[in-house]
Amino acid sequence: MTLFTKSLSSLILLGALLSGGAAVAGEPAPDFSLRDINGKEVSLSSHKGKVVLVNFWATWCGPCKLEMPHLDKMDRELEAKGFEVISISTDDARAASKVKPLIKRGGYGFTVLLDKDTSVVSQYNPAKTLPYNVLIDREGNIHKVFQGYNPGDEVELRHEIEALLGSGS
Amino acid sequence: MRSLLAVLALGLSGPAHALELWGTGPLANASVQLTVDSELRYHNTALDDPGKRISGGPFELIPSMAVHDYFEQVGRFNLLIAKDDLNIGLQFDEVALFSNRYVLDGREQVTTPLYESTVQSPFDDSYFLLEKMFVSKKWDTVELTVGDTYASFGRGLALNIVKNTDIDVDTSIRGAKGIFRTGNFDLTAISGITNQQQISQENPNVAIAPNVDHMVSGARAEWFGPVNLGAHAVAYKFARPTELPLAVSASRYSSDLDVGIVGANIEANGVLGLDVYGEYALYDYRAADMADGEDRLRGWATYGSVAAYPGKAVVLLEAKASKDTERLTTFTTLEGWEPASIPTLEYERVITEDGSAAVNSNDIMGTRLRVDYAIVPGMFTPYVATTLLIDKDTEGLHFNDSEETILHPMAGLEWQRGHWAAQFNAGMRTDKRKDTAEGSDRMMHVDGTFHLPLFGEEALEIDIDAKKFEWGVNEQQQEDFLEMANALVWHRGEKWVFVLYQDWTDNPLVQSEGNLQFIGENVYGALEAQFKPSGNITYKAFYGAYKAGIRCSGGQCRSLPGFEGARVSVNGVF
Repeated sequence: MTLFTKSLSSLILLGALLSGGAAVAGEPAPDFSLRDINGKEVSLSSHKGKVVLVNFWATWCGPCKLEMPHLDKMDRELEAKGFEVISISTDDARAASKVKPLIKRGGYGFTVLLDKDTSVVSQYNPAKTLPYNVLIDREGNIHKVFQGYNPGDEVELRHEIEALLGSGS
Repeated sequence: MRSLLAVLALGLSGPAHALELWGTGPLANASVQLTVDSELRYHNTALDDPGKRISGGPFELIPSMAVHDYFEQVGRFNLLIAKDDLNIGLQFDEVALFSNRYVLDGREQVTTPLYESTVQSPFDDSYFLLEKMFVSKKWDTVELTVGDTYASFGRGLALNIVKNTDIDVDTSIRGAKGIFRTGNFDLTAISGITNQQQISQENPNVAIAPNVDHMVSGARAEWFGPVNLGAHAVAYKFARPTELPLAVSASRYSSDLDVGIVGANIEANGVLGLDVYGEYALYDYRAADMADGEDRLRGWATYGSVAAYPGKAVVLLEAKASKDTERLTTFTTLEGWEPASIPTLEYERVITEDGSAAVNSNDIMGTRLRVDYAIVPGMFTPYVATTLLIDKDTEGLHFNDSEETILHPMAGLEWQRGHWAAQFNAGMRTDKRKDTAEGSDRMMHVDGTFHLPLFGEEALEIDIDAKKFEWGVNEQQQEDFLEMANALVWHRGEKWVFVLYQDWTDNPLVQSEGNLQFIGENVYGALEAQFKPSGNITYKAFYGAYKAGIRCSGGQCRSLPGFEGARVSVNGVF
């Protein structure tokens, strides 16, 4: 029995290693409702018809803060074409007072939601890899997932967003 | 086992085939997302023994490996099925050890026991667990979750049970949670038994303990208007170490409560250009073993913050005070998590040895002021900050046996231009004791990340982190020490990353040894290659060692073990 279970473990690892390439693309994005930093309720489903980038971040996450100016630029420049960034802070309650000052000092204009009890990030991104971006098309389906950020990654992200905006889907 | 096979099938076949599993039933055309984290580790213990190794299965590939070396394979599979307003989630964890047994003098020995004798598993060196599961359904004004869920009220003074993967802590509440939301009003109710993550994803799994069932119930009402108002109540009943590990969860509901907490908060945004928040919580301990032997003991906590935005500056002032609040963690500290705590007001990245003084205390008050000045908003922002804490708690795990005044000024900046970027923080913390004969503890720290574009898509990243400790006189008297954790990262295009890690510590309390003894006995080094063929999957291969140490995140601190050996891992979203 032990040999069987160990072999099964090996098989799971092997399966995980070989299963690359099959993205979550095309799946409907799970809906959620959260309060923004001013207390207003915002749900994902109310943005249907727009291309949406759901961005998970935290105040302590360095790469997240580097990515934010680029997300804000895309949000402002592509808004007229039907694009919107929904940014979700995954900071727990104890850091909630730091979220709005960080947004203010960057002058960011995108929507910022608080996921203080980690209920939404637990569904979309259980490993809480940050930053974590989910690009959603106008029909509410997941187009692509982006994990992590390094300077320059915003080029590919913008390319994907513009392609999605231009495709009419 | 059926769920295991289903997950295995999904992992091997991908979502296109997974959809067919649901046929034309109620879950037809449901969205299926599978997140995979799987890792194989080779633990180099540097310990040998005259015994003879027992064959350890398919991963035993190194004939000359030492008897105490072993392999560990750990996997986590999160499956989310979503259709319309219905979400179903499953988290399946598994771990197996290989080559952790040998024969000495004719008797079988175990070098690394996977779990304690009180854990029920049909397998000797492998453990499978449906760690989390939930079903949530959303209607117009009601959202109901049954199974594993999380909850946080206010700023976490009364209840803050959330996923904290930063330090490999994931305790959920297994029960039911309901949210009634209409216009400006939210009502949340939750009740259940805590479900602590048993299989660690980031850290070695040794002597896994059974889950300990603590009961948590609470309710919170919030009204959002020109001023946001909230009120909540939480009740706890904790399991005791003397109880049977598999005690019936339901008994927590039938026995007297250990702690009741009531709290309220007020928040005003944009009033006179200020964002103001205030919260107060009252703790009522009703168990003698949490109330210093008394029948009843009261504790309290308060936290407040004010943010102002004059011109290009952002000013954040936070303050807190609390008395007898850490008693709440009496029975969960050893399990490595806390059901609630007050914001630390500290720069948690530098808390290591004396973390308890600022993070957890039964008698503490303090304030933190941070001023950012956005010279170019989002691109260049320096800041200064100062924390001042007075810690009167001299019991428990604290290093101080007299009142301490903690002063921690620091400064830093965030800067980026094109693909160049720098994030830098530095400061000095002084823990000054009231009894001057005991002197002061001092810690100087610096950390930073620097991105340097090279040519084409090539880029370098330099990460530095250093802390120098100088200790005063106390019962845990120890030598001054220096700790460093640095990395040199080469980004080769979008797909490849190569990392050279270098740690250093001469902290006498650290339970690990450097692997680069030829350079110095306190030097650790490691290499890692990362391959990201697409945005949704990352492969990593690591060889070398890193040091042990305490790490804090979100007000919780955990002592993390060091590691020496090799690991290959995959993380993907499918």
